[in-house]
Amino acid sequence: MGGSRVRGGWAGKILRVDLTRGKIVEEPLTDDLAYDFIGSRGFDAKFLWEMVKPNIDPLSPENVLSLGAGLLTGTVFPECGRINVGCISALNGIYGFGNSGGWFPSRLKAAGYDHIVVTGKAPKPVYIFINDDGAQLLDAGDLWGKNTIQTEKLLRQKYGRDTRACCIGQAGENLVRTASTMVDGSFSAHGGSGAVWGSKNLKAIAATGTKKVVIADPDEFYRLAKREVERIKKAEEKPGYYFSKANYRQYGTLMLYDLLPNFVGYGADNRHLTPEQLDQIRASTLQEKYAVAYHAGCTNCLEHCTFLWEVFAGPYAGTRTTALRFGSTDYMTMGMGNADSGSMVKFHQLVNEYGMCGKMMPGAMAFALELYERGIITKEDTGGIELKAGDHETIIKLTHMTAFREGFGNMLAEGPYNMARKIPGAYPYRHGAYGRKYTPGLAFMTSPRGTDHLGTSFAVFLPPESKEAIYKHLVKKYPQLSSPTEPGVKGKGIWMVWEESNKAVLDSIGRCALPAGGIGGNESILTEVEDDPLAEGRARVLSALTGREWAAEQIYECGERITNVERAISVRQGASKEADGLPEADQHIEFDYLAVGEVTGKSMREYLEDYYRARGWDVNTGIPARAKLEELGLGHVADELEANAPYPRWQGPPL
Amino acid sequence: MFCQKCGKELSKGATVCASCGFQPVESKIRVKNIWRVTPTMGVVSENKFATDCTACETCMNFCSHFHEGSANTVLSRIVINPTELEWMLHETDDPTVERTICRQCPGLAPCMAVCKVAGAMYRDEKTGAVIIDPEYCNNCRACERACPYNAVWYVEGADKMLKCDLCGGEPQCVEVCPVFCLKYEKVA
Repeated sequence: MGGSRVRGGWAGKILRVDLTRGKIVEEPLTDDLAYDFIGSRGFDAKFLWEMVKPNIDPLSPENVLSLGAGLLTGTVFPECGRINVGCISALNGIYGFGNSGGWFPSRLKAAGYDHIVVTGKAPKPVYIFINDDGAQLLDAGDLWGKNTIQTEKLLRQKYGRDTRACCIGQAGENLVRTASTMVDGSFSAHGGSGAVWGSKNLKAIAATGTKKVVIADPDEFYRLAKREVERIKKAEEKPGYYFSKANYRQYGTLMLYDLLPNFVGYGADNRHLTPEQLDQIRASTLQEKYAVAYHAGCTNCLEHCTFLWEVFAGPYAGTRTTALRFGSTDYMTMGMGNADSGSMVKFHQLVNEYGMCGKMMPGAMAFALELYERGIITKEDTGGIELKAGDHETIIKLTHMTAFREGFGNMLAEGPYNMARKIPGAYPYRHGAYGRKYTPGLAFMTSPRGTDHLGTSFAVFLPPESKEAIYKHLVKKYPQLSSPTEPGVKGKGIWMVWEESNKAVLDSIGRCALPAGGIGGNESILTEVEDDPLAEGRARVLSALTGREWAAEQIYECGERITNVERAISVRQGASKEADGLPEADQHIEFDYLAVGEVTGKSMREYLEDYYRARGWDVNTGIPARAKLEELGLGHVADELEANAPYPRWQGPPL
Repeated sequence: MFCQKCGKELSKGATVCASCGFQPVESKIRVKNIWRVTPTMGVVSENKFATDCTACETCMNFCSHFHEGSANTVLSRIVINPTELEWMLHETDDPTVERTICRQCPGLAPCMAVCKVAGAMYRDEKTGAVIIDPEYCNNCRACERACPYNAVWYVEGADKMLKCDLCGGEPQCVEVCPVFCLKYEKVA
């Protein structure tokens, strides 16, 4: 900061924690870093690129855990209470990040820090406490072994109600590869980070503070924020459009269960459930039975997609949990052929408390079930447990066992891809790109962290007219594009790049993907900007917040820069065209993502090459090309990528 | 001329209020209309009471920005009763409400009754809100102890007493609440 210019938005400090030496260093946030990488996910990428050596073991002390709040987090702007956690993923060994909401992110900004970078390994369990006076490294002996809920409760009892924490549960301590960073007890930021906390002997980070985030133009910013609130409150419902605000607010992401019969993408894992069984786990049925108090939301959230659940009868009576979602229950229902709704709530409580990813952990179970049915593993391998579809007691039992790596749980704790590597004969049946089990499609192949719907989930759920609006904007620049509302889209690669870059910006400014990305046609930050609905409004908000004039292209370029650096980190870990794409087991599946047809080996390669071209990457290797990197001001990244090439092909993390 | 504190009319030439013993510094119009922000009870499900409140803290963030220029829930004048937040952490016992929102007690408010600092507390003429003037207030915290509703408190970071002032008649929290569970109503 120089002269009279006020730099708003960022808290202005980065916290570097060296656990090996027990040292904490504060450093000021430089303008270059702030303006090129915005925050949160952008800073994660930057720090990981700078601080991690090529081809490391994710569970070694060389790995870096980087987490921080977004640029708009801690301000009054609605739906921006998010944090991004980045590391080399313990699950799949490439760059992994998880984005999560909650209350902790705003408390971190209130304590005066944008970002925390944790390196090394503590000799004994520790936690970090941050307040107005700075950060302290404290002994976590009494917290170790506690679950996420108890941990946060203890920290809040100690430091007051305004304190919020992110932590790991027992699963992270036991180096379960599917463990998550848990924010405020029930919000999971996965990306294979839970085991990284455990490997560093770091239990929790708690924050509270009374500092204020400087805002360059508070009145204008307040006006924009308030108009955004009013717009979201009044957002009109689009008749006949299923992803409407009313449905979303009523059911959260669980509303996707209602779409399942038409949801062809889940065909692979939906083999066990009949339509009658699906009826039992519908959002409306579940809510009638279990929802207690209806809604809850993260800080400053107007969407409140979280519900509070309690089971009143049956074998799981007395179970309470929050945040039951589609994404974290689909494998334990559809993947396991289980339609017992009480067990859904119980399972969810367990993954929240143990701190595991509700997707990858049951993904491993579903994979084990598949192997069991194929006869590749038997009762002897599972330690006498019979795996069969629809057996909810076994699911709950295996969840306990996984968190503590007991018996067969020790195998499940490795995650689905690593199981495929460890179990003889299982490798051909593995699923998902980069070992992340998920529904296939082009967007899932190209996501920076391996198969994932959240790399792009922008336009998927938009109503047709909004898709058309974005298309009109894009077609000016790329005339070869065809309309997304007609079948057989041309130029999917361009769509993908546009979506991924915008998603990177959203994560970096700390805004939630669902309201900004498309529930109920809620796609723009400020409605009246017609030209580029997403970027222009953002530019205005960021300008008022930071006191520096942002242009829409500049923000988009930041998104491209972030995704390119993320790719570069993964390239160092072995990602390439060879390793990109889906394993054979997934290639027969049709998925109607922007009308992508059948994904076969041939079409998959075509899509990928189309995407590389749109990205400006090398079409033969899938590695970011020097020209593109230099255009984004990342010449040093290109230098380093070339200096250490070639990198050994990705195989997954060392086991 | 009216007493600043209890609102009763002073006898002519009196320097001390006959009913409350307060020494008025300047004349004020007697405040007749008193408004306040009230959280409403929402859905009552079959098994439990529940409010519409989603614990999203939007009201708190807007309050803090409106008064302090930046969003920080610690600096908010309204504190939502976070039953559901506690619930999310699986605490079954009812939490004690540490802070809440001011009810703008009609008549002689307990906080005003104990305030011994001339000019530190007065009623807003338009809304009837009890206002703390930080210029005169010496942070003695007598009002905090006197308030039966924990609606006024001291914040170290800001070094002042915080209390709802109804934003001059346009309470921001009511305007932004996404689930419409705050209402602005006339109490007297």
